[in-house]
Amino acid sequence: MPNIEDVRILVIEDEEFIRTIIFQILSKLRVSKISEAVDGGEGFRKTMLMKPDLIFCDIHMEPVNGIQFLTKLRSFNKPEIANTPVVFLTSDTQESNVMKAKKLKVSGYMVKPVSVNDFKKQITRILKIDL
Amino acid sequence: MINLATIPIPGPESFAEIRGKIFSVSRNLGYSEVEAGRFATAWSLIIRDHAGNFKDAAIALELSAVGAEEHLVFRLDAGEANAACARQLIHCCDTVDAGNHGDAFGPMVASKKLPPLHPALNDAFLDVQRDILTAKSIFELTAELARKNQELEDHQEDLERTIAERTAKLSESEMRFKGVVNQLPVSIALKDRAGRYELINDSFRKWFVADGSDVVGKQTSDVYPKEVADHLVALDRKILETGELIEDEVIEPFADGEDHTLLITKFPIRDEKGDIVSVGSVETDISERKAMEMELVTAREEAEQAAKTKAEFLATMSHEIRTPMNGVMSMSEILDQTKLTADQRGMTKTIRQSADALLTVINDILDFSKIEAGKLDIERISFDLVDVIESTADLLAPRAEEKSLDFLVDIDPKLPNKVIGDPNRIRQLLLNLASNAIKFTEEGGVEFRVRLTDGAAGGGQSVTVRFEIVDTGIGLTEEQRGKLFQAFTQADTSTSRKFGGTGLGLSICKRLCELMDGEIDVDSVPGEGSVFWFELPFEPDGEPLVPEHDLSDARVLLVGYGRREAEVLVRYLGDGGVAECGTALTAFSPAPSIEEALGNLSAAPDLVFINVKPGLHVSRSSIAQLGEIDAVGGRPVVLTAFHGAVSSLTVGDLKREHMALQATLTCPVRLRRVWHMVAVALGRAEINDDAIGQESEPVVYVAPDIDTAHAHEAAILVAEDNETNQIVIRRLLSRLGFAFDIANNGAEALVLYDKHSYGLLLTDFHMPEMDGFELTAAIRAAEAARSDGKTLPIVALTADALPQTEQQCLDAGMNGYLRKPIEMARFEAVLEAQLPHALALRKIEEPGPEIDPEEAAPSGAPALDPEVFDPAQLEDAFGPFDASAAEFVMDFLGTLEPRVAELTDALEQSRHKDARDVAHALKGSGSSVGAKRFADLMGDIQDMLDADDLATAAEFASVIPDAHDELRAQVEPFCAHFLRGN
Repeated sequence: MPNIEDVRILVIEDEEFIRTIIFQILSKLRVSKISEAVDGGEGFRKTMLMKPDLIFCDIHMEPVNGIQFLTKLRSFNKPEIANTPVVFLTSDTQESNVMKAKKLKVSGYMVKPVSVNDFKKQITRILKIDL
Repeated sequence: MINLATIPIPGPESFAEIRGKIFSVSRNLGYSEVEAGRFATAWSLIIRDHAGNFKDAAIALELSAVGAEEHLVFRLDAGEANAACARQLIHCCDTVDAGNHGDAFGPMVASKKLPPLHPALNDAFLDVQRDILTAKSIFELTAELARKNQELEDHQEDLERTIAERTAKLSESEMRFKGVVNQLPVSIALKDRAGRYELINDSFRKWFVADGSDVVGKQTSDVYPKEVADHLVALDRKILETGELIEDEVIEPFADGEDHTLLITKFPIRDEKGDIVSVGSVETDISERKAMEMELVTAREEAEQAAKTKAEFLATMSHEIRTPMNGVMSMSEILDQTKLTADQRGMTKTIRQSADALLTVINDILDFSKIEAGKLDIERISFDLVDVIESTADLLAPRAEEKSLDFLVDIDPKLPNKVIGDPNRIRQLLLNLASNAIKFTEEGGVEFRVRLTDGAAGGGQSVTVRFEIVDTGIGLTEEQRGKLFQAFTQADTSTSRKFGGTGLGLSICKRLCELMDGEIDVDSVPGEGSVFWFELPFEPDGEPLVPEHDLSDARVLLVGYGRREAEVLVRYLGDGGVAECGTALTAFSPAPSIEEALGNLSAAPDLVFINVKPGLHVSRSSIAQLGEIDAVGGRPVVLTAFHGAVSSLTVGDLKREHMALQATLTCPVRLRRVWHMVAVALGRAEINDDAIGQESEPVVYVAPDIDTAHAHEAAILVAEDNETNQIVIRRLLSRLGFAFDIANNGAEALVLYDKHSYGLLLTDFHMPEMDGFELTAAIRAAEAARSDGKTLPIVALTADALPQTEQQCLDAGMNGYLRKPIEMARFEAVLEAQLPHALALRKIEEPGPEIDPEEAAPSGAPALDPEVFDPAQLEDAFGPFDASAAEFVMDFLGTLEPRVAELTDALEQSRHKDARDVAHALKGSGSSVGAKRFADLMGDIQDMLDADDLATAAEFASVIPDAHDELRAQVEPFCAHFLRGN
């Protein structure tokens, strides 16, 4: 079981306001290694660089959206990176997106507005860390 | 009356014979031809007509005198035929009696008077007549002939049958013999003197003759390939020459082409004269047996190899694990001797405890394997049993203290001072059992009780010592107890989850006890606790324990002890001869007051033992109370406490309370120390550190410079290839004040050896180029050649912990060995013993001003993300990060830009090999300066290029600028901080 202080989390979200909220929440949960990206393209570069343990990712972003990001990630030829758990953050629950995400083995879904408890649950479930 | 003859009548066909006989004899008796003819005719008619009706009848002829006249008498008994016969004779006889007299039939009798001129009836005449009458008839002769012929025939038949039978039997046995020979699972062949086959059996045919044809008359070379044939013929020739049986093992090809191993027996066959006429050979196919033998040999070799591999594996594993553990333990030990904050000291303590725990697990596994392999050796040396028990208790006390458990040692002072046995194994047993006890006890306490059960110390005979480890823990059920000493078992799996451990400990304990001729078991009540105990026989070496000084007039006051503690202390004191002992403020109910306790003493106490236990019995105010009592105030005081509690009550406190602190003893108190304290209080002994067990500040030495050391032959030559070990040894030797040279292997060491005069060689076993044994051999050879009588002491440093290691070292010409991880105290002892003349050269280091490590650390340096850049990476080479390290890192950063450009160019131009090499180089240099994330990225690129995945490589390469920027952003301000400072 990893220590929460050692966990690396990447947040991909285009809205700065939401990024700030997420950063605050994660800090509160004692996550200290947080990286941020504003779209799927930057998100992917950061993923290659920092090799996060968990990614929280918005779906609606420009120019590279969340589904495109996840598609690219899952097809990457380095299992350690390609299998990174990804949790989608979204304000809608459009069925087509849900299906696509499911096919791409998304690890979880969070509907905005997000709460500390939501993050806690996802981290506990996916990384098996007691918070 | 004269009997002439009796003529049998065989049957009707005999009439002619009988007629003739009667006619002839009648004529000879003088009857006329007519008379004779009448007799003859009458009888022939009788025979012809009636002989069929009577059997076995015979005509008796007699000469009988009737009055003066002689008569010829015929008699015949033909039964019912008599009358008919008589009738025939009426015509020719004078008298005829048919024999018919009423109911009874007698023989028929007829007679005729002999003629007047009958010949003289002398014997000669009568014999002639008898001959005539009894002469055999032709009929009879024929019959006889026929019978004889029949007999002959019968005999012939018998003979033929016998012959046929015998012949049949003969051929059956031959067939059987042949069958047996053919069925034999061995090949049989006979060859004549010229080497031609005379006979072969089926097996021979089947094995060697491809078409199954007969080879009789053929030569050996017609059957076998030339090489084999030559060999066989040579054997045949040898038989013909020597006449002796030969056995040989030959590989021969069978008709199917497969080679078989055959055991050949060849033997001569001789005729009656003893000349050899044939050579017989019997061949047995032993291919399978051979194969099996080979398998057996292979299996045995494999088993031996496996056992050897296992032993080697154990040695290697032991070595491989101990080497890094050496680094961990020694460095934390050294670290502990530097100035540290309480926090840091706590951390080093944890490091050491963790390392200890790990070593215990490893040793458990190794021990278990050794026991299983029957390789565990039990030592038999003289040792101080009480010291082993008490020092083991010292090791365990902190753990009990951490769990707020009472921990008590109760030793029977009747134990021998010293015993013969294996102290390490006893320590292992105690540690194992007591660790368990502490582990499984949440409340209450753990106690060591050691006493004699059998024999008396000092009696010279063997004694049995019972060791009990008593706890108030969770206890065991009957079922759990049964399984407890089996390997890999804990009381249940849930406890194993909760408490961890290999599950081997108790199983090892049991085997150890067995190996030491003792027994081990546990008594337990679930929920109340357990008593693990073992009993071992010892040979006492020396007298029982007694105090060095007379304590009989001492008065001692005990304050603040629990019931069991007080009991034990009172007994210790009593056994030491102390006559008066008072206890106050104990857990006794109701607790005696100080006054009451003093009342039990004849005068003021010579010594007061005060137990300091956080939250218990003695508080500062009660000590103040004590100080105010005249009888106690100013008296020597010994405080006893757990380690952690000692600092809570200081000398200052006591001074304030008018108490004279004599010493502080850590709990559980040691028997000898209690006695020593009393002796000191009585003024009969000097206080010594050893007796108190107080930890004095470690002395740090300064080594002389290496040239001085060389000049005094006081320098140490170290041959060690492992870098960690080098660092450890370097630090240890420096602290202990010895000058040294380090060589990376035996060959380097030998060069240094030739150059300088050393006082001691410390050498590793396993090194590249030249190992420790070769090095020792080379040095010993050089010394022998020099013959100046000087020998360099050689001590091996080894992580091999096998029992034979020591002998190996001595055999190799070494003077001793030290086991890794190196214990500082033992290392120091060895060095002092081997290099006494170096001791004068070292100086005691003046303690410098205390430096707070927090302050010593570079302050104000920008915070770093160690995932991007970790300056600690450089510490091995540069020590704490400083200006020179910063310069080095900046240099690296400066070279980065062109290298990165080179890499991206190579990738764009598809020069994969070049790209790969640059990535590889950058990975190496990056990771050694601590540019972690950048180096990782280079590693990823290299991996992808190696895997020919250019697309992914390019993806990774696209973030090189990001990584570069990130690194620069961290490194530049950080290094600037250090460079600015200089």
